[in-house]
Amino acid sequence: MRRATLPERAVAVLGMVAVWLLLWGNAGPFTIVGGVVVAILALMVFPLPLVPFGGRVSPLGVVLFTACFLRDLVLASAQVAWLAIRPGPPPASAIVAVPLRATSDLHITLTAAALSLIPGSLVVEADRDLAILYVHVIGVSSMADVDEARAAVVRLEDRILHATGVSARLPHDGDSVERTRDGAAPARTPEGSGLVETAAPAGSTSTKHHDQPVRAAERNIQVRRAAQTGTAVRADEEDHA
Amino acid sequence: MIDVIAVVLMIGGGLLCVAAGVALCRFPDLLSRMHATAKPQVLGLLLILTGCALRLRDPVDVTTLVLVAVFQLATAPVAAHMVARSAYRTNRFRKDLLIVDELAPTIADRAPTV
Repeated sequence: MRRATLPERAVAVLGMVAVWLLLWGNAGPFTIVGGVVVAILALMVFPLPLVPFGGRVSPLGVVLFTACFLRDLVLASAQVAWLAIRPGPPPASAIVAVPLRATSDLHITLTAAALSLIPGSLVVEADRDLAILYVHVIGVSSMADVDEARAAVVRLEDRILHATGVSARLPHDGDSVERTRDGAAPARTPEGSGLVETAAPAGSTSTKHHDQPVRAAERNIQVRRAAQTGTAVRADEEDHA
Repeated sequence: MIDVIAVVLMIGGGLLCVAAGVALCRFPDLLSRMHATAKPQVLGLLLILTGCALRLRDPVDVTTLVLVAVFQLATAPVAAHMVARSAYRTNRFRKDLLIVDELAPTIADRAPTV
């Protein structure tokens, strides 16, 4: 584990001092000095693992994410509250696998936490190595709803990526995937095989429109599993990636 | 005027908590209930805290309320995830209510890592 650099420790100390000040409710000189001492002691006694953050916080992205998050929170709360009080049979649900674009621990965690806070979606399982979230969605009645739920998770992740300033550096369809140290790039998939979010097999254009994201997601997951177990992905699948 | 807004927020938050309680009784299985308990609670609590902050207006009290909100937002997802995960892996949920379960094949593929 790489040791934290001085600026990184300063950020940690600042964060703890901020909480300390909020707890005390005032910002007198003694409170601040006491907070700094306690924060440094806490860091020395309980050194936390380093969380790599390979982006740049985009203020506009954060505002956009917060606004969308609050909107989702209100809409979804009302929806689940209605599901609870409406007469009729219990609502159906589904467990949906969503492959994420970013594979860093930080982004998986942020996405999963935001998902968990929004009603109607609940992270049942997170596959850290393959960057797949398994999300329990309530109030779905058709496969189209399932696809919409999957798309909503991807949109949420996109907003987080945008807010943390890594979206521009993530590969899109057809780009080769390179390993980078900042953890934002998909270091665990082989070159050119992973991270196909929307590309559907060429033959599927004649099928119903909502089949495409499903197939792309399923294939994406298969590719990631294959990458992990070391088995080769069939050449025709590679072509589409 | 501020008091009116505070009252509206607190009543709104209270209603969401009531809906969460109703859902706890009416939803059929643990995974569905998690949606009700962990979620409307979040917005309900935020509304009530905002209402309280508008009524109290004392910086010391307001900063405490902010901390309550921050820690609630930070801890609720973790708790919800752990409960949901263990519920799924011990089969304490209604499979017949799921229209799709994309996790089942994955779990079956691998040795359980409970």
